[in-house]
Amino acid sequence: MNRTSSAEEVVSAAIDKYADMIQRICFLQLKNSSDVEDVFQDVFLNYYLNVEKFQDEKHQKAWLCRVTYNKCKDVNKNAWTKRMVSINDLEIPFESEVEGELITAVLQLPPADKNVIYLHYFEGFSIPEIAEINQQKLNTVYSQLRRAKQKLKRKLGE
Amino acid sequence: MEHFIKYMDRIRAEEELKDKTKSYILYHIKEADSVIEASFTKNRVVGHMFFKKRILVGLSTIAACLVLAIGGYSYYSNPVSFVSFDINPSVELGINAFNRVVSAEGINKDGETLLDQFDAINLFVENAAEVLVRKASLGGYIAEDGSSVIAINVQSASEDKALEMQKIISDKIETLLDDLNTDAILFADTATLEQRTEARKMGISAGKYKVLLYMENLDPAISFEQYRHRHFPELIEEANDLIIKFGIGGIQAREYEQTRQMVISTDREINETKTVEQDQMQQQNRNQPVTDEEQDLKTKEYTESTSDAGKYQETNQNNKGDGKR
Repeated sequence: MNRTSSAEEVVSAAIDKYADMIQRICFLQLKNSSDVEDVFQDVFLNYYLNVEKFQDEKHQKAWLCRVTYNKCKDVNKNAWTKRMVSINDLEIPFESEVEGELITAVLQLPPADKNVIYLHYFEGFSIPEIAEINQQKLNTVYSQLRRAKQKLKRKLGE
Repeated sequence: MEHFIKYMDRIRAEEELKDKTKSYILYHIKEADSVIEASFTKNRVVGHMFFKKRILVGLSTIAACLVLAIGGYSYYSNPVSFVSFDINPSVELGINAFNRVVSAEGINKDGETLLDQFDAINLFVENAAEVLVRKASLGGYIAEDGSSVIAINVQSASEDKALEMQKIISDKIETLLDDLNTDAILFADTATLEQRTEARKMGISAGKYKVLLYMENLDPAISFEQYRHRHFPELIEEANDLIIKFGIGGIQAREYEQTRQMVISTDREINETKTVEQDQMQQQNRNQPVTDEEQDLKTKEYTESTSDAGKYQETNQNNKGDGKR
């Protein structure tokens, strides 16, 4: 059917383009690959159902960042997840001790702070853009970023 | 942060994960399509046989095919449950069998304004609830002092389904309030679809209707018309006054009492803070040496500020817990 083949193209293109970004957000928020798989499926199914609403690529990317983070929060809130002792099979090897210390310190931050660090330093979103993505007040995002940087400095002894 | 960027850049999604996700999505799309296709195909075969005989019959069968094809689509878009939100904006969402929003209506003007800001259609109900409360907070409808009441009511044919949905939505909103560092009083309840129908006839939410019904059960002299425009916290107070008056107990009575206590204690905190601030201002004024002219001015200011405090208290009694500031 035409409907299915065009849907296949839309979904495949989105997954190829954004899978790495979703994986990175999941890496910061989740602990195992099974949860990552669930989030991937939820996010892209949601993406397909909302694809006509995106104004442009930037809007699309911001939407995916927000939905992925929210899905990760839902997974972490799940009572079963809390009870499970999960192995973190998402980490990749560090190239240096400094890198290892920094990433370990980032992973120990609260979920919201990790998210802001990632969106700002890796994805390059500005603070107002992050406030828009997370639908938060500007001051809230400033506070989160400032707090995150202070905690990292303390942990790393700078 | 260079090390952070370099490390994150090395994190990639595996091809196996991408393929699995693609298969999962396509399976679900095809399944939805096949439901519609099955209805359409069956009637196309029947239509072919009739078409040989009479054109009129063929035309009516094509019409039937269209009805059945639309029927396939309408299953998705048919609401089987409803959720009403009373913050001060009053909103009702229609939810389908897949827990997705298929209709959204503002019950009052503020509710319409809130819904104009985003498209709730196709969102999972708990995600739509989260966006609603977020937008309400950004729009100033949720007071920073924690005095606002967020009332949620779920209506469904199945009580179990309603309770399950109520829990999912409540959990989502509680998490959101934590993230926003905002306090509000969450009041969650369920109602039947029949109660929802009656509520909509009166132009109010099912949540508000349920409270009024409860009040009427306690005191038949209660008139819906008298109370239907009141804000939720006021209704909670009234309901609890009736509970005390008639000596009723039970789970629902305790819920009303608990919510009422939260409303009153928050209100008291606000009043105490304002009184302390006013006392401090007055103390400062007294300590400064003044000329006769300044004395006259200050006396006038003092008189006005105390009468304003009295007006505030009186206003606050009538409009307790008004969500919008």
